[in-house]
Amino acid sequence: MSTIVTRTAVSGAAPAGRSDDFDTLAPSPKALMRKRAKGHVGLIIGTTIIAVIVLMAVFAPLIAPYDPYAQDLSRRLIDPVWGAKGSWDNIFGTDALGRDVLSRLIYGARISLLVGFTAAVIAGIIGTALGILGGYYGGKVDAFVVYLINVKLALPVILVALSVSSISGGSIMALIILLGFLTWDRYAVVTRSMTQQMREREFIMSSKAAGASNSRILWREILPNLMNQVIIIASLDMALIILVEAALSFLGLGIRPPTPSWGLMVSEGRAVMFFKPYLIMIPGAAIFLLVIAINMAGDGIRDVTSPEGRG
Amino acid sequence: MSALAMKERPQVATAIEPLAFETRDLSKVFHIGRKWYAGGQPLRAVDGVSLSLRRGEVLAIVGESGCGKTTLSRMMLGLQPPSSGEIFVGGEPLTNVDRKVFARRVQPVFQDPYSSLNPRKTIGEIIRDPLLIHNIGTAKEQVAEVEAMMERVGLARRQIHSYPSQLSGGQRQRVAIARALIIKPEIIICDEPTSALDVSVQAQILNLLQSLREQMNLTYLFISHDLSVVEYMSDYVAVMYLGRIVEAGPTSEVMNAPRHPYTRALMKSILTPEPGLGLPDIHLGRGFPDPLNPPSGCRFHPRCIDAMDKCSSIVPRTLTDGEKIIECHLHDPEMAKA
Repeated sequence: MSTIVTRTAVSGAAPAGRSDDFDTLAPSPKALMRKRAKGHVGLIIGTTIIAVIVLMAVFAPLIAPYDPYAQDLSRRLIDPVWGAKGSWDNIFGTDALGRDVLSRLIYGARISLLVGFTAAVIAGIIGTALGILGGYYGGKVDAFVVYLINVKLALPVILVALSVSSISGGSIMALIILLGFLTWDRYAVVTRSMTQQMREREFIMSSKAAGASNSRILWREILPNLMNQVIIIASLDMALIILVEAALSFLGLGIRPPTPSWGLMVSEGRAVMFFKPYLIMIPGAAIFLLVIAINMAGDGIRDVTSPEGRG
Repeated sequence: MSALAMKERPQVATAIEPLAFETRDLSKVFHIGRKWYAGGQPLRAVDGVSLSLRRGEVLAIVGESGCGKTTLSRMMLGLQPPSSGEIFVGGEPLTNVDRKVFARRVQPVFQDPYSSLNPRKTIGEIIRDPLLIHNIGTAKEQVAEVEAMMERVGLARRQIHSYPSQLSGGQRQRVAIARALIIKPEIIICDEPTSALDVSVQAQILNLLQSLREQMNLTYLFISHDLSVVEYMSDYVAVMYLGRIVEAGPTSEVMNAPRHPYTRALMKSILTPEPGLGLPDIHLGRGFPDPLNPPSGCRFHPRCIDAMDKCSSIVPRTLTDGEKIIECHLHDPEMAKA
């Protein structure tokens, strides 16, 4: 589609009528990418699930049947609709304080997505900046970056997250920054080695010979060539961050009650898990679904973009 | 004046018309396996190369793979600092010239058009980039300039929005040439611009370079290992062996009457289109020497069919004869006496 549009636009602007203006033009990389994306089942399923969860989070006040904080001790531990005493009033039942599980699940998506996305972006900025600088400048800069990566790799994520969040006291902002600072290593490793390879390519040499500054080369020549990889890592990183957030909340050191968070919901259901297993299975399934959807979408993006990433 | 400037060359010549490009005793030493605690092994990729280039001339540098041609071109483009020696552009030392000013005088065309274009940019963006870097003209003027340049190098205007992956090798090389010429440089350094291309496309690109040279009064430094290309393109030729220039002079003289045994062997290596003749016997069988451990005396002596005893012990002098230079004991009258 786009090639046709482009061609008419150009010939409209310049009606030169060159003799070699034959009508076949190879499809553009973007057109090829769209074509591959349409045929990729995993990408379609993954992005659909993510889209549903994102919409759920955005329109939570409109969708949620109840207030996620409203307690009703007379209606506590009601089975979900498929259970023995379940009803359509509380589709996923209620928890030990009589709060509607579905409403809490819908609001909880906000926390998971907010934490996952923002922390992944923070990690991406830190990691990509370090990786590009180390890979491009080499020498002492690179030695410093490699040192930082090694230090980071030596840190046990959960342990550090636990200790720092126990000190910082569980605000969402602190949690996001903490997770951002704990997961940048993958971006740095990948962007560094890609930049090292690219630095010797002749298009970088041409840009230098044309008088381009280093910052121009980093922004205009190198970064656009890394974006696909960065997006793929970001998807994997986001899934990891959502899991770590859930784990921290489960351990009581992430999101503080009564804020609805999926990890916290699993934690709260733990006391009655042998009698009311749905209380941990439903939020657990939600975490599983979001993480696998993000991974599927990430793999899909890689499959769709990598044939160009090579070139 | 020759394509090759000797150190003894009278300075008067430069006073009359400044040379477009000149190198004096240029060297580049790489240290292989250098660590912070140890110096590494020195590799003299380019070893004392002096050459010069007047406006409008084409100087070709020929030599085998690994003889230092590309390192020489990278230094002349200011992409690698020389270990020693000087480079002059229009009579000014390169170290005094601002990078951007230098870029407007000297531009490269690289060997591999598959690697020299950013795969994420469109052809229009690639060709326009130098104009943006140097902040020349308004956006409208820049686009007009890009379109004019595309026409000039034989690209269709509708390709302005296509990506490099949509073009053939020859078309990509045309894009690389357009990018080099858009800021109207005086000198183009072509590092084997046709060796990655199909034979049929090579001729087109060479013809394009020739006609652009006439139209834009360009000076070329043309690096190649293809002697037929050199013969077609250049006014002067310099033969490089293991980082040094062993013979140089006007192309017709060097090609028709090669004096250095290495040049003679290279001339023999040109393949004829005659079938059944087989490969020419060029007496260079012993392989390219290890540049980390170059032969003593004359660096060519282990492969030279005319090698004498003194060739392995005495480094040959640089002999000048008008426009021609040579480094070989066979042509040194003092060696003949001894």
